[in-house]
Amino acid sequence: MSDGTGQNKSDATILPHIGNRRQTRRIVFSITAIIAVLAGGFLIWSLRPIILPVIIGTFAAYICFPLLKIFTRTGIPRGAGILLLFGSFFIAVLIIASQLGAIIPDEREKLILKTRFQYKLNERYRSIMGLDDPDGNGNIVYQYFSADFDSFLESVNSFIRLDNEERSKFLMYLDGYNNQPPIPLKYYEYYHKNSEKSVEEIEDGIAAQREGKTAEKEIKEQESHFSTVMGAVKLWIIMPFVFLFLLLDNGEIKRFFVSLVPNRYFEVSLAVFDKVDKAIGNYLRGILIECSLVGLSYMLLFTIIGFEFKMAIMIGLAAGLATAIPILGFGIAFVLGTSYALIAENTSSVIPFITSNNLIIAVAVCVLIVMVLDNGVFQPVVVGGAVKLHPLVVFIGIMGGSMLFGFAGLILAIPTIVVVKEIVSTLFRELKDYYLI
Amino acid sequence: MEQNNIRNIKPTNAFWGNIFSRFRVGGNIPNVEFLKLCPMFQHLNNRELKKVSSLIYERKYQAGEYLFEKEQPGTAMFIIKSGLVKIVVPARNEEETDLATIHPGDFLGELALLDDTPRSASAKAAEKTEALAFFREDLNELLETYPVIGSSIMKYLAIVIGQRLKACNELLYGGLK
Repeated sequence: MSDGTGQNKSDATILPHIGNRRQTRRIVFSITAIIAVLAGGFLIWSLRPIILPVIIGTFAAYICFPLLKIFTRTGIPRGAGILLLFGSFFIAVLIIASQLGAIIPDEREKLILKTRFQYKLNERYRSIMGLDDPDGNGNIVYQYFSADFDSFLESVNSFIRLDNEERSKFLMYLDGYNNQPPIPLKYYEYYHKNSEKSVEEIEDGIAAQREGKTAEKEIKEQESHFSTVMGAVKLWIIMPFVFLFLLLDNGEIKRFFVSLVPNRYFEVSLAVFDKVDKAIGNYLRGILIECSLVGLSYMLLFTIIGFEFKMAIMIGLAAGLATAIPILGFGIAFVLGTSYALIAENTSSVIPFITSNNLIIAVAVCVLIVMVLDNGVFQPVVVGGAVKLHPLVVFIGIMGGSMLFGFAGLILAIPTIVVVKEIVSTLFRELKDYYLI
Repeated sequence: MEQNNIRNIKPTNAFWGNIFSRFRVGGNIPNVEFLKLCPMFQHLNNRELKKVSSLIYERKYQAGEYLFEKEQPGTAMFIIKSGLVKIVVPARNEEETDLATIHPGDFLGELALLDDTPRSASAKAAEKTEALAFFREDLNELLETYPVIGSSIMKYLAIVIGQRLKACNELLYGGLK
């Protein structure tokens, strides 16, 4: 126990020294922070093609952390647990990649889909506007708004119409090409009706191509396919390694960042790290389960109403993924579902009254059911009180994310905003709790 | 009458930190070896100590810097590796009243391992000090993933708190007698 005077003297000699140190430290930290932010921004911008694999690897690791804890608790050594998770992750990635390869339409199927879509769109348009009637003047709606509707349809048509190269390809596939079966004649009729140019003109072009250029083009295509695959492999090979290294990390990353924190903020930094870590983990695990449940619901319901199984899986996957985007997710599912309903020809629904004519209504009902399920069951049970975002923030986030980083930005904008919001709100809450602000 | 007696009790070093500490150690010992000297960890084997030491944060404080301040929520327990720490409370005239001095090998702020109730006093480095911090959430995670280690630490934490309560009672009732 010290007496007051002695203590004060020693404090007086210490405190100016501490003051100088604090000032120097503040300057050093400020400069370092500015450089780190600038360097970080530059790196993110330069390395944006690898952002998506890195973030997916990180998210996957976050999702697996509780599993690793369970393994350790049950007596499985940490190393073995990591090996098990990494092996499962690697196998899952390979299976998903191969299944996606089988589900995603190849060149021939894409050409058929585009042709079908354009033909059916025009057919439905004519039917809805009453243009198939004998007088051909259309119904009253068409008579008033024909100019607007026609120009809109034309812009859609010009967007989905096959270009010259695609037309050439279509005709090549018609007879069987690239070890693929011939395109059914029914689609040739669609193609014929869709095509503005004369068939002879296109076929002449094809004949010339068949004579001289086909072999050369095939080699080029094979080369470009190979380079595309290699490029994708080069980028996506990062993902499993990010996953592995994050699982292997035993708190070293956190320890490094905490070591940079001044002593005054040491305890608050620990509390912030812990709370943010838990909140983000819960959010990501919740959103993953919600997306999976929504995707599965779509797959099931679309199969029941008579979608082709392959298409039901594909649309279910896309709609499930889109669920990560609040508000817009259901819109995307509806657009995808109705787009397919528009071109569906032979529906095989287990519900007898659903036909290709009323499939769009069935899709709308399905989206509504999933929406009710998601809001009433999945979200309250799985996601719970996860972070809520204002719709305006969602829209601006999605627009900004997609403008800056394309597809990756579109999908990851909202999780990123949630993470940043959680960090900032927790930081300020804790700083207040610690009487630091 | 009783209240006046309690006020007259002057806390001593033993009350705060030196009940268990039998060692005076320097700062160059590896953390695993150092943790063996701390009563809460000394019954753990080398493998378990290695696990605990991987969760420890090393901090260095200049004289006059606070390890933690009164009224702030507690997050971590500190073990003094080298240097000297004073337990202080702010007094009315903006000065601080010293309650105790914590030496190397002693630990402080152990109640933060239980919950985040505000600290009852501040801890201030009286000279250049090295401390090891053990975070509450790391202990909670130990309880989940390595329950044997976690529960063992909790058991000895309970013993330490019990001992301190007894010491406190001794002081109180001793004063009354």
